[in-house]
Amino acid sequence: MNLLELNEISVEYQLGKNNILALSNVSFSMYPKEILGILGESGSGKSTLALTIMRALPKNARIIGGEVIFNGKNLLNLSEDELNSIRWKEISIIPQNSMNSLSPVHKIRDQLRDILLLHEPKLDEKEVINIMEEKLRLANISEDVLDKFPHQLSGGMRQRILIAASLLCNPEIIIADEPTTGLDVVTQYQILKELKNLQSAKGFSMMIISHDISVISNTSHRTVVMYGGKVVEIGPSDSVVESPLHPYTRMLLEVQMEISKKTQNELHSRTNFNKPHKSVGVNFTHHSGCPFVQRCPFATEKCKTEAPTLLKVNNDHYVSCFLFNK
Amino acid sequence: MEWKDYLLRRSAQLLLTVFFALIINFLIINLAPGDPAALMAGELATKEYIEAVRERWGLNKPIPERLVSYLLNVLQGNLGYSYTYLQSVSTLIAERIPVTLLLTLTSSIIAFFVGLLLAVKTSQKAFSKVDLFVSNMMLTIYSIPSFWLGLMLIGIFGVALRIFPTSGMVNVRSTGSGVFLILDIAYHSILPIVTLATIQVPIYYKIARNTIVEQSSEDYVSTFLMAGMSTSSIFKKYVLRNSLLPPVTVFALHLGYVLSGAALVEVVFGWPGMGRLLLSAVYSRDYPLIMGIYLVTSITVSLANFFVDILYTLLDPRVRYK
Repeated sequence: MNLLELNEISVEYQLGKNNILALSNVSFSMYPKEILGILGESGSGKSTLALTIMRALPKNARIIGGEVIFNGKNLLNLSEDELNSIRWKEISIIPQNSMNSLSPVHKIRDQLRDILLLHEPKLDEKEVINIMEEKLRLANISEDVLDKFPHQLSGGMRQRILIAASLLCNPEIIIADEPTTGLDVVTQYQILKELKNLQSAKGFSMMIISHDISVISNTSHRTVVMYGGKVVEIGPSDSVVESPLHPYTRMLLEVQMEISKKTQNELHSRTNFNKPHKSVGVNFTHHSGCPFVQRCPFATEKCKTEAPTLLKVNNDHYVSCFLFNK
Repeated sequence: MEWKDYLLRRSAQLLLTVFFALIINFLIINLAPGDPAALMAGELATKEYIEAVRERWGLNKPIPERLVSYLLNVLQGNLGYSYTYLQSVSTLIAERIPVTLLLTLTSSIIAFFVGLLLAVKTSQKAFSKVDLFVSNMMLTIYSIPSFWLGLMLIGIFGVALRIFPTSGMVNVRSTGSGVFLILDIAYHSILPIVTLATIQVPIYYKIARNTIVEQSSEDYVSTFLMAGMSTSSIFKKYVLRNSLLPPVTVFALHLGYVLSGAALVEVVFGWPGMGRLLLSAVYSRDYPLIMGIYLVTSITVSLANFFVDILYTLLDPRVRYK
């Protein structure tokens, strides 16, 4: 049974007179109790994806198609009230770490309490405090932070508070949008480990969004690789890392990890990845063809005009590339 | 402990500021052209008479000596004696302060709330037609000189429609007292207050509107949205609170000008306040009176700044007293 199902989601942003397609027919599912990694570079649509699920896209964005099915309901069709009862209670998010993910002039206590009381209005003050303190302990941070303001805390502490906040209502799904960006490597490692432990202890599903392949491969059970607003590869994280299919995934791995001599030779014999390419972030207007075509060493004429679709290559491992579509 | 230190240090700073302001005021006035003795003696006075007047008021002494004796007097709470009104300066000023505050404080408070309310309304639909219309209207109002607006209001509501009195603080023909006097003063104060408030609304509107628009796209807004909070709750609980600092600061800074800032409007409406007192003192080179008003103004400006600093530490936890 799928916990969350994304079907053919397309989202565009209006920038001046241009429409930019940020997500194009994105489909994948999340299973219960799994960690799903979303891997992609800046502009690949990862964060747009998270905001689409939460229906919190900026005003200039428009969902032009698709559905997000959760518990048999399409989240994109719900009224604001119905949605607000699902937000945080069923699906919560750990927002991208930033100074202002929490209000700078309110104490942590007041902000966490406000969120909790939205969904559990009957709790009395003592229960509220108990829950807040319990979640802070789970996120490995002392209860003292309740009486602090965000600016009095370090980046790692703020991130842990956001993690505690996401746990407040025991949701079924937690989306972690770049949970460790901007943190030092040690804190990054600790937080990821803690998130992973929390997930296996509490049994919720988690979506980890990152541009860092090591973050994804160290935490997730399955990995979705995105490029140019499209899903280019989905598979169990082990297979994606050990036997990547899509040229983009291979390129990422070549850059970031040790890969086998054989593959390296094969890649080098075909092309040179370092050749200059046009800026990647801007060519996502409505186009036909594969989004990776401009950087792909294996690109053919067909790739420029036709878009490949996700194809099952082997057990639960899918790729969207004509190399495998014979 | 920290608080006490901070208050003490800021108070010392305040006294020092006022002291320097006092010296600068004194020097500037005495460097300005114009001979108070000649003005006091009158147009037909003989040279000997002018000299006699000069000596009578101590104006023949060198400036440093006069400065020192003035400072000593001020320290004892004696602001001097007005040449023209033949009254003590402190009495003259004390009489005018409440009269002016009635106009300036009331109008500032009204302007603050009207500006804030307009900003809250229009920022909900930022960049819509209504928002642009109000913004442009505010810009127009902002560029209207206060005395002109006052004259127009007098022309329309005083002269043409005869709804409001054209000048003064009380009806000189009535001998009412008690409640009637208060009502009479309130009635006379409406047009000048409307004038002063109108020209101040755009300041509060603009700063509040822009802050609210900016705050509405902050990351915490999307955090609470994704937490399931309704947009109106987010606005009331978080955006508004985060947007208050700039308008409140401007308001508090504005308090520095409550005593002397309404001079033109007071003249237009024949309002017997500080502004008019200052103007008449300047025309007749009434040095002690000018000095007294400047002193009181310096103190209010410094106090307002002091007040803003304290307010900052209360409103914004990120600002610490150091």
